[in-house]
Amino acid sequence: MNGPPHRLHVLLVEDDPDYATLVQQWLDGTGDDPGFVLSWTDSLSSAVSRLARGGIDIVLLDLSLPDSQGIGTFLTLRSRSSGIPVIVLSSADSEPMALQTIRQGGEDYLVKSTCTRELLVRNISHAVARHQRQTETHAAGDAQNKVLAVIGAKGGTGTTTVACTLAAELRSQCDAAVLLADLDPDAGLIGFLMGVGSRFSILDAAQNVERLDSTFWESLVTEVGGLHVIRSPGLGVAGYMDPASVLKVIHFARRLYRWTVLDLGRLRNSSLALLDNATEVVLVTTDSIASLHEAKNAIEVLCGSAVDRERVRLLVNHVDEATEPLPTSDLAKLFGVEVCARLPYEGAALSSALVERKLPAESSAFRSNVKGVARKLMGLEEIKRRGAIPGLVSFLTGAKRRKPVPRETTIASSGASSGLNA
Amino acid sequence: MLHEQGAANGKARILVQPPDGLPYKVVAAYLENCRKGLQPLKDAIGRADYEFAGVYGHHMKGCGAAYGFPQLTETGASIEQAARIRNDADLRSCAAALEEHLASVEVVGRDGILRADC
Repeated sequence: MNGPPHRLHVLLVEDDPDYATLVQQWLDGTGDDPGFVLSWTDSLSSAVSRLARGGIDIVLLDLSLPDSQGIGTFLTLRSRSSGIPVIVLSSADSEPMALQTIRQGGEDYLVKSTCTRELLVRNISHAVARHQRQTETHAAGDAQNKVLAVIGAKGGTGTTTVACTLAAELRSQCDAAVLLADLDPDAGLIGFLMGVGSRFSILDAAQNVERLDSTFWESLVTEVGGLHVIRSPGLGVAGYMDPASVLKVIHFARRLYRWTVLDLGRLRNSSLALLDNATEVVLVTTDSIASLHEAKNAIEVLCGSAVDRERVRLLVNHVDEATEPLPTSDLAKLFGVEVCARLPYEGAALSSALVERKLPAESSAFRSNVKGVARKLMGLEEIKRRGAIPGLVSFLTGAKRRKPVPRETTIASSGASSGLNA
Repeated sequence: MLHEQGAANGKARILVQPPDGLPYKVVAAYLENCRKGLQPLKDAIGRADYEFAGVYGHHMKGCGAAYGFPQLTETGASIEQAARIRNDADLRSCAAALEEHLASVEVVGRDGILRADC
């Protein structure tokens, strides 16, 4: 059995008692079911207090109040009424003001002297319905959009290079909006590697999280090769970021991007708090005993917190030419998670990319392996490499089919050690 | 809706029916509030309190037409404007026009009959 119909709770912020009486009469006299419940406050400060108590479905706001005037009234209230539609009721018939209000997220701008009961009731109902639909759309978008956290088992595993390349490949493969966000408080190399000159960082987003909208957000990010990139504030500053605010920023970004790639740097306690929104986790390690040991610990920490083991993938980056790689099957057995890729040692190619501030070349084995990871993450089949259809090749060339060589042993190793791995 | 009728003293009377959705008593109470607010407005003009006059005009501009008195919205806008530029002569002129208007306007029932309790 259904409960009683929900009556919309309207908060009127208006310092003129005569106009408050008018609105009360209009909303009382609709005769419509379910009708309205009206609360009235006569200042911005009291409106903010009332909103904090919750239960308000929509706000009717006069811009001229004893403690605030003009568009500032709307902006302040909107920052405190996240998720609640606001209709401005103004005595001023000002088209520029009306446009500004709508651009800043207002549902509507009604001029008091020409407002009628029918107009107000219709606008309230439409605003609430529109808002409800937007909320549902966002929820659907949240389900479709993914957040990928790239974490290093320790420093020097190449986490940033992997994160940048993965983001570029996801952008290329899915042909939808992708964000690369640098949340590494120690290094913040993404800004350097991707050539981001913006002075804005994730810290600016976190400190203004209550007033984030798509326009404001676009002023914070930099577009690099079709990717949106937001940099870390850098060493010594990032540590002051409030994890709860950063989490809200990630939640906001998830609505806008099919993929949000987070470079978290090496695993630390503060990273764990940021994994709430992550749908996928890639842990980057090297082949060295020390790094593998840290990776083992990191997986236990990750899986002991809020992360499901199924969401964690291990990526082994072969950064030291001299290290003998362990077979993939042994690694999977040892770690109990999927090994999604083994990146070959390509010191010269990565050094060259670093100097030119470019991602590893499309033709590099590093890049094609990361492309494979991107396709796996997207649920696409890994691209078959040339030679992976030996039957056809041997048919065309008349050559005998060769026995496939284990991937671990096909990794090319050349050039000097790269400084690109961050 | 506005009606004009000849009054006993020879001046035109403006009769206003409540707009749809507003009871007679509410509209009549608003008109009474406007009349009560006239003296404080004149006092404010006398002491050059432009802030008070500006808020008074702003409120009247917003409410008047919605209660069925478009003339009050126009006068309110003029008072607000005069207060903003601190024009004492315009403020006094507006107050005089407002006083005259408030003296001639009356609220009638939906049947168009002037009520005794107005």
